[in-house]
Amino acid sequence: MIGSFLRLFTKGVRGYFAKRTVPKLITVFLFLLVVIGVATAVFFGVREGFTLIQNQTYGRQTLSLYIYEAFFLILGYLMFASAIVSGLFTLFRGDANNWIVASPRYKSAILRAGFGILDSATGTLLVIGIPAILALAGVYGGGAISIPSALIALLLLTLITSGLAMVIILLFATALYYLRGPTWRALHVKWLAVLSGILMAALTYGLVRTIVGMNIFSLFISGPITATTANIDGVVAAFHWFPTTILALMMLALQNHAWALAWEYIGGIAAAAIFVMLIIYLFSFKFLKLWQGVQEGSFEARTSITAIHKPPRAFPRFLKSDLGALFEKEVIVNFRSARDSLWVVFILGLWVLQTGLNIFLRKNSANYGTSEVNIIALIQALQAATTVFFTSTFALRFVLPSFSSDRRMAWIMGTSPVAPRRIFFSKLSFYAITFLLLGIVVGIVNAAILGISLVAEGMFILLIAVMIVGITAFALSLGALFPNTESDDPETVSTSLPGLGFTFISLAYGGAGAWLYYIFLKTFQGAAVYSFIVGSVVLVVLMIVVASTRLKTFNPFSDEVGVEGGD
Amino acid sequence: MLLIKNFSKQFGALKAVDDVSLEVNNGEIFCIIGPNGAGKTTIIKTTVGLLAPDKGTITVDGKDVVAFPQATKAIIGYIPDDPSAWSGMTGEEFLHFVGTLFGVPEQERLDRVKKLLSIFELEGIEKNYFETYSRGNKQKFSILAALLHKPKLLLVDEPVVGLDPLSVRRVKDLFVRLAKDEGVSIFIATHTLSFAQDIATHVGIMNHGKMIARGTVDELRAKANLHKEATLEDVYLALTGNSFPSA
Repeated sequence: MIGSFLRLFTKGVRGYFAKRTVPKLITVFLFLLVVIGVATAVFFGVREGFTLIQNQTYGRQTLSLYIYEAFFLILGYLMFASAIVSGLFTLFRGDANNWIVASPRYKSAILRAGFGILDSATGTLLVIGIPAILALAGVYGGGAISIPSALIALLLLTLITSGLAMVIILLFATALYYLRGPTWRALHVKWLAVLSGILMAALTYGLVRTIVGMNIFSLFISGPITATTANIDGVVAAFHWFPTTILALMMLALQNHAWALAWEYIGGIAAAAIFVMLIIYLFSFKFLKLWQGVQEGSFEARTSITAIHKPPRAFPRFLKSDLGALFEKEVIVNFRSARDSLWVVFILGLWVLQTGLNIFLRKNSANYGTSEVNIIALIQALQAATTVFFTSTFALRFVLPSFSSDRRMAWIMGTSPVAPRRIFFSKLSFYAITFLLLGIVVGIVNAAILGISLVAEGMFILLIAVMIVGITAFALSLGALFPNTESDDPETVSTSLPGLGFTFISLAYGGAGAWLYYIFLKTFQGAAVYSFIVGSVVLVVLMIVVASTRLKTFNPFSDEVGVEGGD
Repeated sequence: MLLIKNFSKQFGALKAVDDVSLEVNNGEIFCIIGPNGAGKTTIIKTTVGLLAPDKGTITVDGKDVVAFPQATKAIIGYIPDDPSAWSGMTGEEFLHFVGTLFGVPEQERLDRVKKLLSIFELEGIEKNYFETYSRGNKQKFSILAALLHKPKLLLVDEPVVGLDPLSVRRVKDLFVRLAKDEGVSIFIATHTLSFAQDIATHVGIMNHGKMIARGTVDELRAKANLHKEATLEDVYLALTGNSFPSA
């Protein structure tokens, strides 16, 4: 069965390159460039950082352990949360599942889902994990043992986080299976998504509370004042609740060339991984029932099934005209999708986590040996960069694929008398308003935490407002003028050539804006940041004019875009 | 109402439609039949603006579909072969959404949605999400959506796939009534030959992108040298050069 899945995978890769080969090869090439770039940056960053730490006689152990703990905690959280989001739909809504479940090898549906979840988690591991391990081996030596040991541990971490996510989804499904009643169809993707969302919110809250509650002084200076090296107990105590702590301790052991101890930890991690796999194996016996339960009732072939007819309700509800209908359609499509909502919870969780980090830095800034003003300026500038990063992430996942996703409904959008440019404006207004609300609220909360001046806050809001609208307009224009004709799946569309180009440009743009804002906060000389804002406004207007002019003659819903045959 | 003159469309090396001309007048039901890949859907998609013609002209109510896309789309109702819609939208919202795009005022929409739902007895499920509907129910909603703005020309691609016999009968009655009583011109691409035979005033047979025959069913029988009782299937097989021994 594994061989069949692998053959299916290689066939899929060949199929992907069969059409529009050159743009796809360029995409893959650029993607590899990005991967190599990030991996190189991670390698040199880790090497430089740990070389500095290595020279710190007193704090070498504690600092290293703290970095390992924080790294594995965040990596574990990211892997687990993304596995929950992708796992829920891979398990119960995967396209290929129908065929597998209908076959005599139905039990392997869970295996296929597991591969899918693992596949989405290993990317982070390859790009960040491997160069970091190589850099650490370069600093501390003993690479012949430490590199394979750390790699094995990282692979096991991927297996555990992905497996744990599956186990939790299956546990939720089992609970709902027994809770379902004649009138309440509890076992439904919607309720699974709600439970998963609550779990992710709780996890984020726990993580934020832990981060906020940490005190640098007690973390690093918990031993006797006369000691020549700092005691690691403070760090161990702060993180001992998290399962990722065993990986951090294992890395410290590898760093100290305590091979036996390191392999004891790896043994513990392996045991945990085997335990998780065993639970999944046990669930494979129950999976068919759960899968069938989720599919139940999601289908209405009959007509007039109920005698109770609710009063008719018009749509759009709040806004009138075609633009209003298009706007409310976007609201419905985005907020009623369990998958999209979970992605929003995930990305928002990261944003909240970053806010928690701000509080932690603000609280502990006095201990950094630099002036508080500089720290606040740095954090606030990072906040601007973070806002752009999260807006870009949202835009990449939701805005850029918006026209491509609607192409399946071209028979409605492309055949109505509404011009494509009006559809463009309705989408732009929906996404820009949503992101502005989100970005400004989070921005104000963070500004309040940091206690920055009114002028700095005003400038911050002006800057991020312009950048948010700019990024949204850029993503939408790209998506409208270069719609993906091969897939309407937002996750696939995001990784296309326009998606890659968008990521490059929007992050560079956000970085430039944040840097200029940092200069402004430090010097209170606003000329550069003002010019950036004015320049951005001009660019946004230009972008909208170009896109809307092109949309007068170009129909993104036309079958002409990328068509190769007809009935 | 629909006038197609010397229309050709090519996709790469494939000539999907080759110099096709036809006319559908007010109140006529023109059914176009032909094997897979004959070019039927291409004609419909070009008329509705999802494709652009390479050669020739297509006019709807005297207006060229390329020069006046908004004006021609406003009077066309289109029923696709794959009635996908946004999974999180209810059937009722979907109908209102399409109605709004076509400029139907709210009160008129409310009245018409209520009336249209009763055609297929969809009252009671219209508040459920589109993703929960069967193929047949999706098809019914797509038929109703095309009728909301009272189109003058109805373009239908495979109208009865997934519908139960009673619903097929209702669709037939509906189309005949629309053509006869309201003068709507209906252009249908279908493989269901019995459906075409029952309601078509004119039939066109396409093969390899060319219109190989067109006329009333009687005219086509004569052209195929078949007797009066011959079905459209017999005519189709004879004119497309396929023959099967009788059962």
